[in-house]
Order: sequence, then structure tokens, then C-alpha cells
Amino acid sequence: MAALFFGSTMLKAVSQVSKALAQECVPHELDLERITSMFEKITAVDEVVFVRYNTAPQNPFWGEFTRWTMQPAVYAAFKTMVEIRYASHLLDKEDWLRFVVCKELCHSLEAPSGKHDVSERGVDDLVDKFSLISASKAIDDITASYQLEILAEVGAVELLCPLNIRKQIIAETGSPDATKCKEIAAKYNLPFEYVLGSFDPGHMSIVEHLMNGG
Amino acid sequence: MQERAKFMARLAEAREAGLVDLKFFFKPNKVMKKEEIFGAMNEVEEAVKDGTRHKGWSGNAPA
Repeated sequence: MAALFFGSTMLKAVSQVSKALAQECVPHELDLERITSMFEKITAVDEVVFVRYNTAPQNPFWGEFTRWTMQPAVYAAFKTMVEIRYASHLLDKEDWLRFVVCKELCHSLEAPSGKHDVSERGVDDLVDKFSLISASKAIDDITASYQLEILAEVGAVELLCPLNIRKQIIAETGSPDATKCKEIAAKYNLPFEYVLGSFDPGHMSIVEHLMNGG
Repeated sequence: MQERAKFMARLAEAREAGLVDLKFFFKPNKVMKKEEIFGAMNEVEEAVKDGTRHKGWSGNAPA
């Protein structure tokens, strides 16, 4: 229940970021520079740093979000720092780079989830889920941390190709087929596989519900 | 369970240094067992040590 609350909070916050970004430019012209600046304005994080690391695309970890709390000096206030890490091969696939960085930025909108996610048990649970995903097995026991991974992916789509734009596309040309989704993916510069699912009527209805406060 | 033990030792150190939240973007292209997944996580941790840090973006390029 707690993860759904935080998730709902996250998507509400994504909705606010998306609306603020829409004041600056149309969504298909958004870039990481504009999106990151907006996140820095609205989150309670003191510092955001990016780290590009060199691994082969076969390594399944293409991005990481880490949040740190530290006290720079004994009498100084605690600072919150976010480090977003991404694989260097993403520089060759800009749609994935944008998606992964936006997904990780969305985690900075979550209320701090306590230390469960960095406990041994929390990590073991998550790795169990990853192993099932790799085998494309259905997961019927979605843990809080994995639920937040999914919600952050939803948040990334809402930043790059927002719900109101998708509704507008449907109103003008009907539900897009795979060919049309490829064109939309190219225009909004995000991975095709996420565009396809984002036009599902059930998905759109739930996203709208959560973005309005759940 | 060597890879798991290695990752958990790193995690404990990071917690001591102030780590309070950790999330991943996972994009597998084959079936992976837990130990293999921990191995991939350790590889990323090693790569991050030698990684390139930057503060922001110029358009969609690191700046």
C-alpha cells in the first residue's frame, strides 16, 4: 500500500513537471537539458550528479538511481544528493538515453522510501524479480521497490509523450497501430516498445487516475 | 554465492557512506539466474568507479 501511495505521489509530481515543461516548449522538442533543469527546480534534492559508465549492452543494467544522505561537517545540516548512473552505450541510442535518464529522474520525485530498498532482503527480493523478468515469467508478487521501478517507467513516458498528447493523437487519427507508433516514437524520441503500450486504453485510464491523485 | 556476497559487502559500505535509496533500469536479453544478475551489478559498480561524472546536459548530450 505504501508503494502505491508513493507511486501515486510520484505520478502526480510528474504531471506537475510535465505541465511546467509544456509552458517552455512542445513535448517533442524537449531535451534532457530542459527536463533536468526543471527537476532541479522542483525536487527537494540538494545536488544531482550524472555518471556515465562503460559496460557492454549485454549487461542488463542500463541505468541506476542512487540517493545519499550525508552531513558535510559535524554541525552542518544533512544534505541529500542524487547520483544518476547510465551506461555509455546509450549515447549511441538517444531514445533509450532520454528514457533511462528520465526514468531515473522520476525516482527523485518519490518520498524517501526508508532503508528497505538498500537492505539485503530488499535487494534479494528485487533480484528475484529481475530473474523472473529475464525469463519473461509473470510476477504475481510485486514488491514495493519493483512497483516503483514500473511507476518510474510510466513517469518517463509521461514526460516525453504526455497523456494529453496521446489523447489528442487518438482524437485526430484514432488508436495508432504499430506503424503509427513507430512514427510517434521517432517524433518524440523515445523507445518504440514503450510507445506501443502507452496507447492501451486501460493503461491510459489508470495513468490518468494516478496523475489526478489516485 | 560469491557475486551476491561481493555485492552485499559493497552495499553495506555504501549504506555506511549514506546510501538510502537504490533503483535500477534492467533490460535483459537472456534468461539470467540470480548469481549472474549479481555479477552484472558488480560489473556496473566497478565501471562506475572509473566512470565520467557530469553535472548536466547540453540538449541531449552530456555537459
